[in-house]
Order: sequence, then structure tokens, then C-alpha cells
Amino acid sequence: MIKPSAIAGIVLAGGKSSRMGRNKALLPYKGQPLIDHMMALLRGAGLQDIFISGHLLDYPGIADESPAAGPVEGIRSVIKHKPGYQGYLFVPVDMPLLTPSVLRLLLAQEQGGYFINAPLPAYLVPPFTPCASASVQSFLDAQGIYPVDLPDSLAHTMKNTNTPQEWEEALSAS
Amino acid sequence: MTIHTSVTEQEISVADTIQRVSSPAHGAIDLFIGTVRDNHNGQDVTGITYDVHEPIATATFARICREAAGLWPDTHYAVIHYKGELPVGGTSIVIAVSAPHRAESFEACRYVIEEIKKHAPVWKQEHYRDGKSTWLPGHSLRQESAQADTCCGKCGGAQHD
Repeated sequence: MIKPSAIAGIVLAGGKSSRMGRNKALLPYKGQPLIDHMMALLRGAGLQDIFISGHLLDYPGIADESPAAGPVEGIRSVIKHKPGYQGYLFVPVDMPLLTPSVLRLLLAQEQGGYFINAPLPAYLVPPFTPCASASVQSFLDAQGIYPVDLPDSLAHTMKNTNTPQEWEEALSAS
Repeated sequence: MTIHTSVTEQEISVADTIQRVSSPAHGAIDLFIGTVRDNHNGQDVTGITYDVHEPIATATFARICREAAGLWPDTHYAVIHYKGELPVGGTSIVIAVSAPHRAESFEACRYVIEEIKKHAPVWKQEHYRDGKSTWLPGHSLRQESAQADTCCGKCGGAQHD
């Protein structure tokens, strides 16, 4: 496994949160903004250099070159503006139930990895192949990264929260 | 979740710290004890004086514990830091984390000490055998990871201007 200090952790927070109706990254989760929780998650997985993709008030972020173009644009911008790492672990801001141990399953994949049926979170390892697609799955395919199995016991940690109802469900599950 | 953080000028009691996190629903308590080492950078150390900004330190400890509690559900925390002079072997910090199962207790305890090392306002003055002493940050300053000028490795930098 690549040593954690050589891996960048990135929270993808450039989305519009249109279905949520308010910025997901700033929703209060366990006493702090969700973005802070997600950064702590990356540190909990052992990473030291943590970045935010997207523009959030009061947080230093890496702006997308083409705003609102989806998570792939965020991934491309980070790779371009933060070169030099041996690995990049991307987590979406809206998966509050992810755990450090789930992320470590991905970090153990030396060639990069993601879970079957869930292109994010994704662990990417350079060199990167240019890919114009706006789909995360196509982007991962272009990098030649293969999915790995997620144990059933951890499936609940992958819950996305796009709507107020999904958010409430996540809060009660945590 | 319960969190206790404090700074003390008395000898830290490990038993007390454990008491603060123990719970009948928890089957694991992990303990970190930081002690004064007799050498640093090749010099013989005889003791360390810790200076701690108490209000900020306790708040920082609590923030770090809250972060950890968000990651490892149903965990309890106690962090007690010593302020003043300690001889070699003296206990400078005790962290206790209890959890339903051992895996979370180990992970959360490691998280708390690593984050405290990076962020807590703690300074230490090392005393050496030759009678001299020097102040240094009690928390290791974070090394910015070396960012070499690499790119995708295929475009020769053309795509990364």
C-alpha cells in the first residue's frame, strides 16, 4: 500500500444540491458542518493532505474549471491543481455514513479502486488517461480501474443523501 | 457519546481517566499514555516542562473527540493533559476511548492522539543533562507533503499549465 502521506484525500463538494434545496456540504451533522465531518473521515482513514473540490464559503476549495459540470470536472481540476501525489481518494460530500475502514478497503487497491455499482468513493492512482466523459463510471473505466466487492455488512455506509428525506434517513441511521 | 477534556497540574490518574469512559454497553477501552523520553535528537533529556493554553487546548481536544465520535459511533472519550514540569518517565497525556468493540476503540484513540499532535496548543521545554534547555512545539508541525511537478505522465505537462 502507498504510504498515506503520499495520498491526497478530496471531498467532492461542487454540486448544486438542487434536490436538497440547500448546500449539502454545510448541513449540520453530529455537531459540525457535513464538510468537516467528511474531512475528518479522510483523516480517520490515515490521510494527511485533505482538499475540498468546489467552492464553499469560508473553506479553501479547488474550483472546478467548468462549474456545475459534475463530479468528473471536480476530479479533473484536483488532479491538475494538486499534482505529485501517488494516489487520490475522492469521496462525495453527501455520504455521511462512510467509515474509515470502508475507505481503507479502497486504499488497499494499489492500482486504484471503487466499489461495484458505486463509482464514488473512488481511489485513483496516476498516471491518468485523458477522458472527456462527464460520467464518473466512464472516467474510471478510462483509467483502467476495476471495481472491488463491498461486504454486505458495510453496504449501508454507501448511502447517498440527495433529498431532505434521504438526509433524515441518514441521520436516524447514524 | 461522552467527552471529557482537561488540563491538570497534578499527576494524571490513569484509573480516573478510564473511569470517565467506562460504560456497561462498551466492551473495549483503548488507552494512550504519553510519557517523557530520555533522549531527543541525540541529546540526553532529563525532563520536560509543558506549557498548555488551557481554554484553547481543552476546546481543541473536545473538537477532535467530537470529530472522532462522528466517525466511530457510540464512542466515549477522555483526554487529560499535564501542565508543568515532568521527569523522564512522567506521564504527559492520557487518552481513554471506549467503544462497543475493540476495532473502533483502537482506531478512534489513534485518531485523537494524531490530531492532538498536529493541532493542540501545547509547547514543551526540554531539559538536557548538560544543564541547558530549549523550547520546542509540543505538537509536531505538519510537514507539507512534497509535491513534485508530476502530471498524468503522458502529456508532458501540456494539459496541466
